[in-house]
Amino acid sequence: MRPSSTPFASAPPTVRPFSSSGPVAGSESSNFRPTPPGAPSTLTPFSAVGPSPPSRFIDPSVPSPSVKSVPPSGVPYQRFPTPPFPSAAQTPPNRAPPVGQPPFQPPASHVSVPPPSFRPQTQVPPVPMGSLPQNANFPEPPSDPSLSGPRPNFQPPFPGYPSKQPAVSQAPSPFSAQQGSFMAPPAPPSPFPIQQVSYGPPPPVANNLGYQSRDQMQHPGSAPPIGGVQSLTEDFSSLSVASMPGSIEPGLDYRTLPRPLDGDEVPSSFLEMYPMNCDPRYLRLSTSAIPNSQSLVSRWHLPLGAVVCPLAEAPEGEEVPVINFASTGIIRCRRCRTYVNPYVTFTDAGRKWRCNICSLLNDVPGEYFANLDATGRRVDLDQRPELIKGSVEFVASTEYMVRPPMPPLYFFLIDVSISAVRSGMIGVVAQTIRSCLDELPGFPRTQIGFITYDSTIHFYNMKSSLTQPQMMVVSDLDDIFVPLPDDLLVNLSESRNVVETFLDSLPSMFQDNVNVESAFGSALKAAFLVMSQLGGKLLIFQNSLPSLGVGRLKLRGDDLRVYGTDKEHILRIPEDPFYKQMAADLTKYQIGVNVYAFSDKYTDIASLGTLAKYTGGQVYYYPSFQSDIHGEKLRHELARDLTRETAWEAVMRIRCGKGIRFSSYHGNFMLRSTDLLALPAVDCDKAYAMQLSLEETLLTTQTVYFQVALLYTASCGERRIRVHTAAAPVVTDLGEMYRQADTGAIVSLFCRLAIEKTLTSKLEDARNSLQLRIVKALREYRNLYAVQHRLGARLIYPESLKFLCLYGLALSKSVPLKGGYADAQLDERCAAGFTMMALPVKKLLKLLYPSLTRIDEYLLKPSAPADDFKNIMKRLPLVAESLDSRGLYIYDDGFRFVIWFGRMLSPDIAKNLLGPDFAAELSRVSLTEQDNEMSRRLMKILKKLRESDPSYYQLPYLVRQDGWYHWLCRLDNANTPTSPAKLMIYRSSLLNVVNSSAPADESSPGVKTTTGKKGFARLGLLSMVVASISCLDVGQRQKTLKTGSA
Amino acid sequence: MNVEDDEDRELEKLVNFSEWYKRFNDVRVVVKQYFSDSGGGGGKMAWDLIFWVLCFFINIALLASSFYQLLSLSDLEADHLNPFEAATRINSIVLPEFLLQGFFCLSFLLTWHWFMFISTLPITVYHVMLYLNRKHLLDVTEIFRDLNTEKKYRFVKLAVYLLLFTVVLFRLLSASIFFFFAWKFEELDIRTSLFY
Repeated sequence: MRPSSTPFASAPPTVRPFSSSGPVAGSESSNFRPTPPGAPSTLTPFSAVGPSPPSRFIDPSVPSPSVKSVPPSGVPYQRFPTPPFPSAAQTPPNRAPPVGQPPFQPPASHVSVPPPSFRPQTQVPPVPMGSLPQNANFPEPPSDPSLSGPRPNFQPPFPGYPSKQPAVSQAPSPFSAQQGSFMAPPAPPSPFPIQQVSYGPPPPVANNLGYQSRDQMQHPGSAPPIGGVQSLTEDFSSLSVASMPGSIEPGLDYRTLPRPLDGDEVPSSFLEMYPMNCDPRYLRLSTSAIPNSQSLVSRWHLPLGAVVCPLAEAPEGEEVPVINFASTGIIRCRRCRTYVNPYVTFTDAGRKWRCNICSLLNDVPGEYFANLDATGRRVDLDQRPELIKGSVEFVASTEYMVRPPMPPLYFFLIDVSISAVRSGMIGVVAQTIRSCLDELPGFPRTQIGFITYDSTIHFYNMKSSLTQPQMMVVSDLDDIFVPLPDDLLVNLSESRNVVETFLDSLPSMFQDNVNVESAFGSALKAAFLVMSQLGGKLLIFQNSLPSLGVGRLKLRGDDLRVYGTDKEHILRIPEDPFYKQMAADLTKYQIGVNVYAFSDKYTDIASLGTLAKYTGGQVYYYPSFQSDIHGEKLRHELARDLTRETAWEAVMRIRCGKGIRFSSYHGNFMLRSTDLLALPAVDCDKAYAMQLSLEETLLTTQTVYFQVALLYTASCGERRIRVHTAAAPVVTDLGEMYRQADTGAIVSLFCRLAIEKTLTSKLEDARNSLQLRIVKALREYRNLYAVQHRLGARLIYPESLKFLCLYGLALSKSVPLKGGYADAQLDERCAAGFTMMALPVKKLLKLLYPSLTRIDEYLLKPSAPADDFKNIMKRLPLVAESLDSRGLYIYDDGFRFVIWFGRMLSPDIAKNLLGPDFAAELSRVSLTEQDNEMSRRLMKILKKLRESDPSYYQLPYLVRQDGWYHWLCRLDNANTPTSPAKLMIYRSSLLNVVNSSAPADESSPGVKTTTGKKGFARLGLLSMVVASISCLDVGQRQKTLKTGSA
Repeated sequence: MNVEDDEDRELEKLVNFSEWYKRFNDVRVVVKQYFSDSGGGGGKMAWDLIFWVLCFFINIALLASSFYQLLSLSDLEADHLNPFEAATRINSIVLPEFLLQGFFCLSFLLTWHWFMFISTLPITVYHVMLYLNRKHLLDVTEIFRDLNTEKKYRFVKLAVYLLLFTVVLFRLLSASIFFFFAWKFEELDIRTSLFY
């Protein structure tokens, strides 16, 4: 979403040189070449920095002089009037001032004009200083609207830039310049001919009319594009629920709803404020403004916390640097054990350093000593990545080990009962493992072992001196013992031949097996006994319900009557305490479990998945696995599981500053102590969420630091500590918290909380509490502004949370939470729950709001260049209007593709893509590459899409328009059908809600409904909005259905 | 005058004494009746004492178990103990404690100590409920999430056990005083009979 075309998109990196070079005049001057007219004051900040630079390094609490970078123009530089928005009735100050005066618009740049309180303590000089060069770099004519986009918070009070658009924070859309309706992803071209502007707050015509006209009257001749009043309304976005002009029916115009067509948007202002923070792919805070008091926390109804993905895949060139402190030992704070990071300050001529988390003065070890220069920086800063980068990796010494680093270890526990044989699972698994043997990480130390089981347990002796593996069968399930002390687990490089022979013969070995039993629990125990010496990764391939021995499970979940009662949640928790106990034991011995489940019948994923949940693993579920259909998916996902970089025997801890504390953790792991996450095996596809709470009633510090430390054994056998550090300002203002909110992190936290709630209460309750919290938050936000504005019948929300409602809706319609008994198989529900508990933010958002793209035009184009892939892949909003019956669409949620064939799609395309059987029932047709250009192109698109998201393999499902309604209902995320009557009820109560919650406002036009207190009290604002969103979508769909079938 | 006064005083003393003595007499009668009713002489009294002594020790054991569990939990919280060990420690004594407590409660019922029975009943019922829901054991995997509730639950239990302890102690003392005094009365009885 960040416009890469603007001159500042690359701003943060360029900032650094200035910050580090301090007041050396030469380097800056070069950047000031095109000094804008009337900007002599630009130099003030530097001169201010000059005289007293070290002070900021010595004591962070001393306000940095950069604050004083006020141009000497005499105009009071009001950084942040605390009620940031002068009331609407007043004449807004300084609109379009005469040239020569700083046109500083105090409230406008909502993104983050930081309150003065936290600007100074940013011990990092780059921020204020860095902004200057950029500004000085503007060669553009003064009124270029694109300037305003990305960095509104650093708008300098320069004369000569009168038309800075305030508040256009993320999306300098083409319209922002004219209307100030600043939301919007650029509107996708066709489907909405009516309103291009409509993704944002409704254009002034509808609602802002009042303000605008009044405003115009008061300021005749003010510069057209912006106005103070505009900036007031721009602080939040709004959604009109009043009647739209021209429409008789009151209600919500679904086209005005913001839709996340650009996927996950990481708020950028945060990174700009603290350029030395780690990348948001590693750590995202639900709001980058930490509240300073309990009361603020209680008014922030959204989750307050962080989502951490410690091993996220970094793009080429941004890998985390590895640092070896060999003899010095890793520099850590004596008291709080914080690792040295960019935010520590060196004092006392470099002999001491102050911990940024507990502010203890530590000694700098002799080997680490470096002199400080005049500005208080270490002279060797450039050679110390740990002092300039938010993410680093330290090589840990022996004191960080309780035993020698373990080798990468893969152990396979394979079900060979009849159903597994029939589905062809064994063959695919054996093949895949064999093909991955070369790529298993950690050569030559990698260890490998196998156990197969049906009603008995088969061990395999793979000693390197053997030519063929020896099979040993244990049938005593009650008293499991390991028949051989070693050689069940062998070094792969030594026993390579034996392993290969075994894998080659495995499918044929059991092809005549007619055993239907599965002694899963006992086999698990056996595997545990074999592995407990070393730990490692245990991959379980389970094809039926465990039926023998310890941990046997029984059929449950087919009882319809349980749903909706207090006992409903019991279905979603493990039935037998054996599984939890086993999971705990496995974690204790550093064994991570990944469960692959294949059954077409009930397998009790709720119980099996527990093993993965508490050992930091994940659950792969392939319902009704058939090797010819799902084989490719299994092959890809198993291969990725085996070959991706894995961190072994890891523990993770997140530290934070005084006064706050991480109080709860959510995800797939086990807590080893109150704040230590035990992760036997962790990789880039796992994220963990945690919630913050304030320990003190009032935070006195002005910045809070977070530090994630993951101590792990790399596959190469090195013990390492990956450290991510981030800083966040402490604020006193609720509005600021909302402005700095990160929808992705919030949704991720909500998702985990809701799924956890389904384990202790009804699905209904989980959904309700989710909605309630969003409603409360929006209501609180409304209250913030209700006093100042006449909001009329509009729902207002902060720009940063514009997608929250939509994601909230999508979440409550996601597989783990949706509906009741009939809406999702119990196993599917549980599997999705386990998966979503571990998903990183980006993937979760994609799952919740999948992308929909139309591809027939591209396929038909005679010669499409290969590189305009981005252009083809334009996401469409997920509404029925997007689907044209002449089109071909791909719907991609990161886990599967749905390829939608319009009814009137030209038969050529279908024929070309599907081959001769294009007229058959699509669910039986599999998509294979045909020998023509079009098919190859489709395959190329699919391949590209898959490459963009390699963690899962997306199997294509083909759907024809007639059947689309069913898949919309069946597949996630679509809207469950709602009756028109219900829809009307929702709409009218939505109106009531908005009216009654708005301040008394007689003149709100177009809404005649009387206040419905009941509706307001009982049903939340959001649930209404959400409901109406879904209703509208469905309504439209139903319309198309009717017209389509007519 | 003086003499009369003295005599009066003597008389008063005598009366006082006889009244005082009467009480003893009554007690003696009661005690005698008591023993003769139970049929075993001092048997019932002894059984009572033994019963309360037993209760006393059971109660101490319950107190100790509660205390130990609490201690383990706070050790866990302070990271002196890992969750596996803490759970094993606590879970190993949960069932014995439940059984002991059940026995404690039942014994009051069988000995018709209604008050004591009713005051121990809530805990017993709660234990049975926990057991039937299979929630009596600590869940190692979620131990930190449940830590606060578990601690609270054990604190409450500790408080109740302490309360019971005071009652039991009181009853024990009264029983023993009764027992030993009754013994003394017997002796007193013999000696006083010499007076007559």
